[in-house]
Amino acid sequence: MEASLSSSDSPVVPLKCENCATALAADSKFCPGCSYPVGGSEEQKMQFRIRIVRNKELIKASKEKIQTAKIIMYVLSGLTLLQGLYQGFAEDNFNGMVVNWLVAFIYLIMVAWADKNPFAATLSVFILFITVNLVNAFFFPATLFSGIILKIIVIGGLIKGISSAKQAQDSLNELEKVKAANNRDREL
Amino acid sequence: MTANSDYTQACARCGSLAGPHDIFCGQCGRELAPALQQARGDAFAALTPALVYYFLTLFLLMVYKFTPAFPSGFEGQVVISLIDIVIVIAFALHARQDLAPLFSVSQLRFRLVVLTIAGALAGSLVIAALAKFINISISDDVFYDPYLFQDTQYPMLISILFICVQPAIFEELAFRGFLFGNLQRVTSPLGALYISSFLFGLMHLSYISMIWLVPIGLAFAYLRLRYNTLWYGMIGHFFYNLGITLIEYYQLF
Repeated sequence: MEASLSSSDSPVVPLKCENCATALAADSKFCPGCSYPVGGSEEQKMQFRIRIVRNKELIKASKEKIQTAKIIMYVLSGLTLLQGLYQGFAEDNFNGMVVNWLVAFIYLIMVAWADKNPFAATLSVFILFITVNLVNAFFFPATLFSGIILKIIVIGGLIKGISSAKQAQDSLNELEKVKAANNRDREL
Repeated sequence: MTANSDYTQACARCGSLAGPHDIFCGQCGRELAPALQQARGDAFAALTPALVYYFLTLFLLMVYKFTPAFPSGFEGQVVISLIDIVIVIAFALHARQDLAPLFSVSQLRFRLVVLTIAGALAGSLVIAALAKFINISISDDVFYDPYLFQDTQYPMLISILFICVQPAIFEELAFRGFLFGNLQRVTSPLGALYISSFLFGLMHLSYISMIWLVPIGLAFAYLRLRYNTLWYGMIGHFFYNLGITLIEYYQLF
């Protein structure tokens, strides 16, 4: 601080970071708040900005696949609910109805959670879906292959959702770290 | 440069001094004190240990519970327990560097230990009453049935060993230990807390009992996250299972 007051003739380094407005020491080559290369070449500064733009684009690209995963969760919830209705009213299986409704409810909770933490919610649904199908297969092995195409679509969509959500999460962390403007865009 | 008390940290790469609020080194741009390193990129590659542990154990438990492959009664219980112990130890050894600090006893506080025990015993009472109310056997969701041990020489001792001691150590080591640690590498601490508790409930293979198993998992995972130790979870888990076992054993409800 004292050093910068006395060297008034030629300020080589701006006193505030151009990227995040953190106060800088006179000899800083990088901003201590966001790692912006304040003392670097134009090319280095450009690379820093490109990094921010790239991460924002990655987040935008992953949103679509996360949306697909959310639709899959809605469909799973609806199908499980219908299955519960069928078991309760057509088969007179009260326990089966309650269990199915509980699972349908868990899928709905996951849809709501997906807005806050899409990665965790999609991963949980992925594991829940496989677990439910494995349990069913132990009692009725034939069910493993019923609706196999739908199951493959569901698992594929969820896997894509998990990877995309991870991508978006990584990019958000990166943007937060470099204090990019508008990085609070958490609507995934 | 004069000695300056404003400098509280040094860069690990270039040795430059930095102030207490600096996040990056002003000289080389390196991050000064990186938080827990999150694995970047492919989620499934980073999650392999957690997924392998979960599905391997789930499969074994399903074979144990739904098929006659294991010997029945006490013998089967011993076999599945030993297999589980071996699997958990193998995964724990794989993650031993992350797990070692969680066993530190220096930060343990007596007051919290007492609170954990009281909370666990109160929880076991409430949940046993709730389970009675919705008419479901508690011993159905814990794999460990006290009646399995009635024909042994010391039924109470063996019940406590298999129902209280073993799960308290090995379920905690798995779910609040390496599973939690592995999840923390791919998502936020809160995300790891919720997912590990959800899997803890799911793994017990009784959908209805998830209503109380997930909150129990959340409580133990919170203790692990907040105090960075497995001890509170292990103590709480032991006393919760002990409460349930005593209630079942003496038919208190």
